Amino acid sequence: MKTTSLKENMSALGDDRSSDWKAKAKYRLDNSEWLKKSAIIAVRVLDALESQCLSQKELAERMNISPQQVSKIVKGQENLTLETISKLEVALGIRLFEDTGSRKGSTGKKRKPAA
Amino acid sequence: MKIDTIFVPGDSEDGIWSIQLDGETKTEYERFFDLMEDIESLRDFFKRNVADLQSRFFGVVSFECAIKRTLSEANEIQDALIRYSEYGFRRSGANLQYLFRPLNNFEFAIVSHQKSKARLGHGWIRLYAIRIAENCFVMTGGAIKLSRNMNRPHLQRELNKLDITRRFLIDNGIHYPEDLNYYENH
Repeated sequence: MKTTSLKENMSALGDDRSSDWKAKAKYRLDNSEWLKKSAIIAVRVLDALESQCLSQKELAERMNISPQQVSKIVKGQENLTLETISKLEVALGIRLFEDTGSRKGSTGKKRKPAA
Repeated sequence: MKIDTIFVPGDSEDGIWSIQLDGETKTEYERFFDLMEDIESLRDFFKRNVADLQSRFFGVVSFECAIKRTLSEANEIQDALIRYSEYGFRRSGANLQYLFRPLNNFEFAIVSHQKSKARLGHGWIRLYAIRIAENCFVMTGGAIKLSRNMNRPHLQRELNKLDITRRFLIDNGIHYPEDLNYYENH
C-alpha cells in the first residue's frame, strides 16, 4: 500500500508546468494607472467606431498603422504615446482628453488681486 | 482536462489549482483574468448584457463605468491572491475558506467537493472553484454576474464546468479527509 499526498495526486493530473500568473498579476497592479487610462481610450475608440460604422481596418488605414496595432489599442493594452492619441483623435474626429490649457482666459499668468 | 498549480506555497498542500480544458492553451484561471483586462471583450460582454447592466441593481449604466469597475475589482482580487501566495495561510483570517463560500447562498454546511464561489463585498466578479480542503481549491473559471440568478448562458457554462470538474476530481480519487494530511492510495 503506497501513501501519497494530495499534492502528488493533484500534480499527477497535470503537466506540472509553472504558471506565470503572479508576474502577470503584479504587472497589472504595478501598471494599473496607465492601463486604466488606456482602457478609457479603448472604450471611447470602440464607441466612435460603432457610431461611425467604421471597421478597425479602416481606422488603421486612416492612421497609417497596422491593423494589429489598432487591435492592441482597443484591447486597452497599449501604453499610448501622445502622438498616437493625437492621430486617433484626428482619424475619428473626437477628443479623447480635454485640452485644459485652451480654456478661455487661462494664460498661465497670475492675475493681480482686485484692489 | 488537466489540473495545474496556480500557487501552492512551499511543501504545503494548501493553495489554488486550476483546471485547463482540452484544446485550451491556458488554465481557466489565466483565461479568466486575461479576459478581465481585454477591453474589447469586456465592452462586447456588457453590450450583450446591457439589460442586466442597466437594471439599476448595480447602479452602473455606461460601458466606460462598468469597465472601470471591472478592472478595479479584478485588481483587488489579484492583490488578495498575491498576499495569500506570499504570506501563506497562517495569519489570522488568512484562510481561503473566507474568500470562497458555498455556491448556493443558502448552503451553510461544508461538504466534500463543494461547488464554491469567491467575490469581494458587493462586487460582480465571481471566481468559481471546487473545494478540496479548507485552504485548497481547484478553480474552474470566473464570470461577471449581473443577474440575481444563474440563468444567463455565460453563467450556465460556469455551472457546467463546476459539474464536470467535480466529477473529474472524484473519478480520479482526489479526496482530502479533513482531519488527515495524507490519504491512502490503493
